[in-house]
Amino acid sequence: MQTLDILVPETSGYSYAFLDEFAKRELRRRMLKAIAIPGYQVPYASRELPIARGWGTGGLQVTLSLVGPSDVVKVIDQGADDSVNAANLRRFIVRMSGAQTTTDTTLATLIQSRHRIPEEVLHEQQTLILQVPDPEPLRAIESNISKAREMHGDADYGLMWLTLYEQLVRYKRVTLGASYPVTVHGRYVMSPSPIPRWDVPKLHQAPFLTVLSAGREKRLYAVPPYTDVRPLEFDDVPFRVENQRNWLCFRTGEHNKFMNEIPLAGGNAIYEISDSGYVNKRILKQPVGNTFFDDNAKFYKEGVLHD
Amino acid sequence: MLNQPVSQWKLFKMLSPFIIPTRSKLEAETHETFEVLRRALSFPGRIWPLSQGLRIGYGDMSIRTCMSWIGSALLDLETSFYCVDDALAKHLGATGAQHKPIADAEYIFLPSLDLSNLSTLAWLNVGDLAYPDRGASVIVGADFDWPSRHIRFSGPGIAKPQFVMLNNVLSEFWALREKLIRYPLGFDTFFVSDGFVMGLPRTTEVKI
Repeated sequence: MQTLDILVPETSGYSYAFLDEFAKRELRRRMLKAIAIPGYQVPYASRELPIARGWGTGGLQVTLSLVGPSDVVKVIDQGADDSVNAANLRRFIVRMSGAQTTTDTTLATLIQSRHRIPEEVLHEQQTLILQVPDPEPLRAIESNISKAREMHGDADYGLMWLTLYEQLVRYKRVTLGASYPVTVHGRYVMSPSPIPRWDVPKLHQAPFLTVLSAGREKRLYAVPPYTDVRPLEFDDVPFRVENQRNWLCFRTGEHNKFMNEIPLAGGNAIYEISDSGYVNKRILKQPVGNTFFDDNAKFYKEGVLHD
Repeated sequence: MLNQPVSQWKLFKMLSPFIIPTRSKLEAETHETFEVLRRALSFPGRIWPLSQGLRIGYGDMSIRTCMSWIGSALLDLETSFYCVDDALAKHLGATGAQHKPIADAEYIFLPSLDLSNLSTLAWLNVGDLAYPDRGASVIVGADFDWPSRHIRFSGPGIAKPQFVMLNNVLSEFWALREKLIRYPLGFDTFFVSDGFVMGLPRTTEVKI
């Protein structure tokens, strides 16, 4: 017979990593299902946190349910370790868990990111957690969430393809930038969060686990290691990344990395690599890991995803 | 100024940068178990030790003990389970989870896999197209042995197709799995041996 004495856990003054045991256990259960069904959006009970929804609560909840005292956490926002949002999230995670932090991608075990995947290649022991503002790739063509869920269930993505085709007819190119839809394991169409198109191929057959979580929308999904993640593309109109050919980083002199464009007063622009941790290592002449795009841009063949 | 008493709140603010959060024993153990399950499902076919970190040197590594650890990590008032072993079922029930018939259970614990268990396994919940995550998770007792060229896994989480150490699992289990899984519908499996776990998500293709 179940009694309160049995069911009530031992009292501790506070919950480790902020979330209570029930919340963490629920998130962990959902995460296992998300790993088992790549790209499928698993609903979960998104909890209140001391930051507002829309500021990374989904990613933060996943990080808090994964983090332990031996973890090394890196938090980035649009590639930057030092933005206000990233600094606050990092400070909160450390205060609540006692984990270590780093800006070095190669040393981190958990990487929480908003809108970027780091330039350096991640390995099997690392987990990438992406903050997601809008997890539903069908939102633009079907605003009713229940109907969108039915469409996912039936793998009914005809309207999605039609949207891409209409863009081609109207503009002679696919106009989608960030959040470029991808097909995961040949089944579910997924929004990879608003990462630039440059980062999308980094998810294909990646050796690391990616967990994507939307706190406001109360849904999380995952891309397990070594999983096919293919951007939607037509046979005769291949997927292309942003054209940053001939852009040079004014801080490191490098190219073939994703750049921020900094407008100048005269109408010109200079460029800097978006991944600030990578830039700092280059400036300090510290060793860097392999990058997804080498100096000869070998990841791509003329900007086209190449296996 | 110095003679004024320091309020509790001020004291907390002064000391908080120096406070290192600590985990309860329960939190540490459930986190460790979950991490093993997460890795097992992320990399199907690999064998992961449940007895790392906190549980190094833990004496009892029987299948039932390992299953009770998994139950403690995943089950609570919001979940349901099915278990044929009375002692284990009692432990799992203490988490607050409800003991339900196999067709309604979210977590199915089978310390041993024999033909009678297999016939009941045919009734497990595989979810529906709107909510395939409602498909059950099956935790099965197994006996890992040396890899032979009989069972090969491929799919997400596996860089190259690999042979696995699961030769002692009944062939009827594989036939039933193939029959029940119509991706994304299906069930996910954790094989548990003495202190070790192997994951088998529904996405894994098994060739025998």
